[in-house]
Amino acid sequence: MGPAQTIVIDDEPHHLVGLADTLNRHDMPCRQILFSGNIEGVDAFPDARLIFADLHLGTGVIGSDHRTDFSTIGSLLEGAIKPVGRYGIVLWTLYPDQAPRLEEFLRERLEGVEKPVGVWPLAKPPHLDEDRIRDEGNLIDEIRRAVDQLEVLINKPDAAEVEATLARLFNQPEDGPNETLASSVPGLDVRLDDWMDEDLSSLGATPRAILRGDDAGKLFLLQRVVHSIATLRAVSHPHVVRDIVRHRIEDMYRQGVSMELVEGPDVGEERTAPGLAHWMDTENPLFGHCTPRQFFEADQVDVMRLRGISARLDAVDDGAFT
Amino acid sequence: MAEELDNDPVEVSRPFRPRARVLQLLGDELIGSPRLAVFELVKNAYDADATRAVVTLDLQSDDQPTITVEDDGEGMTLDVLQDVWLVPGDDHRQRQRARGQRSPVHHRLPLGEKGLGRFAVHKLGNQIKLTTRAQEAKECFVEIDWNELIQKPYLDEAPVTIRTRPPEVFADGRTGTRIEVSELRPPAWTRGEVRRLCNQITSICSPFQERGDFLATLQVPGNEHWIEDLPDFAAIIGRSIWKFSFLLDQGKFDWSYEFFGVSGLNLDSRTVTKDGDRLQLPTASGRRRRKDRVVADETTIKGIGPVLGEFYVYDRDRPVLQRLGDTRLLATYLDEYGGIRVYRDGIRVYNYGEQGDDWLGLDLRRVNVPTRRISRNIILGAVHLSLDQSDAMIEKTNREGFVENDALGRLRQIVLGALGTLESERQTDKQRIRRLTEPPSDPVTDGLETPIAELRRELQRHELGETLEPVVARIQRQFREMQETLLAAGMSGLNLAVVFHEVERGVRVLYQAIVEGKDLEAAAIQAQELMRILDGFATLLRRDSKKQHTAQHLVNQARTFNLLRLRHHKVQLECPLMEGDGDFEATFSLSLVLGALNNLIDNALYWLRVRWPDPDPGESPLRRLYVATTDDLADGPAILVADNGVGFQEDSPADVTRPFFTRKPDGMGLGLYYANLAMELNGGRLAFPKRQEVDVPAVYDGAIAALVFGRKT
Repeated sequence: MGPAQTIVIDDEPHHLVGLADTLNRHDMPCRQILFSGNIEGVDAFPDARLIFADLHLGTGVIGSDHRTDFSTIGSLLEGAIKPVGRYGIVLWTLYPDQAPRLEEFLRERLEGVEKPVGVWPLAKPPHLDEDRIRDEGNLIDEIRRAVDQLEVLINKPDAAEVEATLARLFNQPEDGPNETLASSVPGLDVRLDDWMDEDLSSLGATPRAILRGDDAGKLFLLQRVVHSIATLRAVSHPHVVRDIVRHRIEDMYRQGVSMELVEGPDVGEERTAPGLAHWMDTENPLFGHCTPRQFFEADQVDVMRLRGISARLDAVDDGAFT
Repeated sequence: MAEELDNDPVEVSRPFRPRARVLQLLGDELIGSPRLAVFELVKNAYDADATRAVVTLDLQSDDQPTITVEDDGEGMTLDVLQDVWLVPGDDHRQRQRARGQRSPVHHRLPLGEKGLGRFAVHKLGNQIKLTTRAQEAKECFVEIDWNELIQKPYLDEAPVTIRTRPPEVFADGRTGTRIEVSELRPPAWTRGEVRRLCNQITSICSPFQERGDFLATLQVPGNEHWIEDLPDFAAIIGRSIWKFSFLLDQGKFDWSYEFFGVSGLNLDSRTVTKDGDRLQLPTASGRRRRKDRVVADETTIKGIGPVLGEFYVYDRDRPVLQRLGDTRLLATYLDEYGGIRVYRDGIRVYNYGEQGDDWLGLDLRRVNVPTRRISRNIILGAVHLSLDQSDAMIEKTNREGFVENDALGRLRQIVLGALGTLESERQTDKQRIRRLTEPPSDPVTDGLETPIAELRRELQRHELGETLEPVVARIQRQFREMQETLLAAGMSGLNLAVVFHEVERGVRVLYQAIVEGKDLEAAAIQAQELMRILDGFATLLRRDSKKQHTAQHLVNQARTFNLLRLRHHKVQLECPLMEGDGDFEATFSLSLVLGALNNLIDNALYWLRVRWPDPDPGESPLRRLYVATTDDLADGPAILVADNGVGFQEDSPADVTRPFFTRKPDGMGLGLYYANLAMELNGGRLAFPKRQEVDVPAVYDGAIAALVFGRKT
């Protein structure tokens, strides 16, 4: 299982465990916070991308305006969780109609932390049967329907990582490019700085702007462009690309994207570090007559095979994105 | 085809050529009901500077019943008939209004503005005979057969003939206009419809104010008995138990509240009057919310003008109603005509206050807090606007109220705010009435099982079980838990019966809504409100065990919870305790007492905004909150919460801690009750010490409350 990017906060233990277990069982590993009123007791979680919060976190204020409840969620964000980057809130509550007001409240009043990109309602009553989750499948389906940016929030590429990859790609390795092939790849000799300021017509922005901006969709597309560059550069700098391909596979394994590329014993159910190690040491036809580890650690790079694997990864990215 | 193939450009200039049936669209199909059509004709009489308009519904002839509207206004000359009456959409009234040009005799501004009202007559019947005569002019006569007219393909092929003649109808120098409609649609009028029409015609002019210079009446020759026993409005309002009148102008709210008493109950009447008060505004819905403003100011009435209101309120609880006599008449009248109407220059604006129009959402409001809120069927009210100052209130072309705009949103807030003031005052007298009329109820035996079972049956019958069952089950479970927990904790003396009763009443109202087939959305909202009450109390049920905590820890938690609100509203929090000043330890359930403290802060935040609507943008904040500790109270150390808001005014501690008592327009009245309960469950109490009892800096001249913790034994 990959690292948790999701938090569930509730002051009702049954509701908390019910939702958290459901998320965990459906590939959305989450951290649970049973809120007892002690904000100081809640750890920071800057990587949180999706926060399921109950509206009533035990403020004890009875009224219909819920301002103290909103303020409590705001204080949790500002004073405890401190999310960095894009994140959204799912209001897991008996009062789903309050979601737009909470969003307005947070957008207006949060200071010192990012504001959520959205607050989506998720009504408790239809999913709870005497404090137990009635139908996990329905609950997950509704979450997917309700949170229109779910994929983008949870699986959003990390801008710093994309930038670092670009830097590696454009950096000339010691053995230099393959001159024959370099001549057939346009723009191969462009400097990184220049390329970063080129308007990518398919994205309507420069790579630099995308990396500095907040548009997850464009960042996804940029990541795919980078993958394509990597594939091209594999021709001239295969060693660099081999590292990138390996990193992409590991990342994919972590995220649990289902594909034949990462199939094997312990894969699918338990996407753990030992699972990955096992997969790396299991012979896989995609890598020729060797294990993935042998492939990545070989002195000589099988350029054609590497291009094939890279193309497969692109295809998976496509599927995951669309 | 040759033209189409030709590439030479073509330029054609043509006027629009309306079909004759456009008149049908403007009249019959645009106007919603015959009642509105009559209203339009009466409004025309008002604009014609008439003193009276007489509507005659002559049903004596089975073959040819007629409706006639006759006024004694200025009438129309041949020129006016030709140039204005026959011109749909003519804007001469609108121009008159824009110029502020008033009528010569009664100095009225015209109500009409769109030049379409006269086509409403088509809603009433097919044959129209119009007779009119202006001063020193010939009498003009027009006869229109709508059916024939709208059969013509184009309007310009459907001429209307105007004939002039020596005065026949308006002889002896009289002027005015008479419209006779026959071939009525609908052809038959029942007694009930005629009675309703009569009430509607008489309500065109405000019956709330003294008779002005215009009167509309209905005659039903041959069937006078149908309307002669109609309840007299003055007699009906004479039987009200409360009267509230107000004026909002220039941000100042002058109001007067009167409780007249109930015959047979030994209760003194009570009057409260305030001039220059602040009108507390409820939260507006949707995007029209005026951020951060909880009281009205000069801008609130922009485009609306001064708002004058008058409400007569009744009590339909059985013990009260039966003391009023002739209960059926009163109940029927209120069912049919209850609500709040709008008048502009003394003339009614439809549909506000009509049976199907709950423009203020009163019924839904009442569902939320049944014992305190006023629903449409216990109020007869009117709001008066001035035509020349309410320029942002634009009437819809179909005559069904004002265009939904910001001004209408503000008018709603104003009226609901005024109603809130009335409801706040009324609580005291309602409480006095209940003490005399309601048998004491026992929270142990007051169960919810029967009403819940009835509700479930109805939900199943209306196929709503699946949607609302989770909510109902939750209400039932939480109610049971609350009852058991609180009673087990020995809290039966703390007005618990009132809370249980309110929940039970809420379930019954929900049941009634389902039985009556009201919409699911309203029922769902109602169920949610019930849950809201119980949810608040759920904290009491889930309270953590009592442990030793410091006051500083508690206050710091509350401060963190409310940080965003305090900062946003620019409230300066002075809290010596944060420096460790006066800290003490006590044993209590943190979540419960934290809830109590949060409620006090929530209250303070609201009342600070009432007293200081605009926070000082500079460095010296106007809104101040003080949270400290004191050992000056005899029964133990306490956390003090003081502010420089409006204070508790004349309300006693018993009042403010009574469940459902509130002076906030959107409040539920459970905050201080909860705080008191929470402290009692922890062996303490909620106190309201006098200024001289505790050491609070003088700048905090508003409310002072104290969470008192019992002394360690």
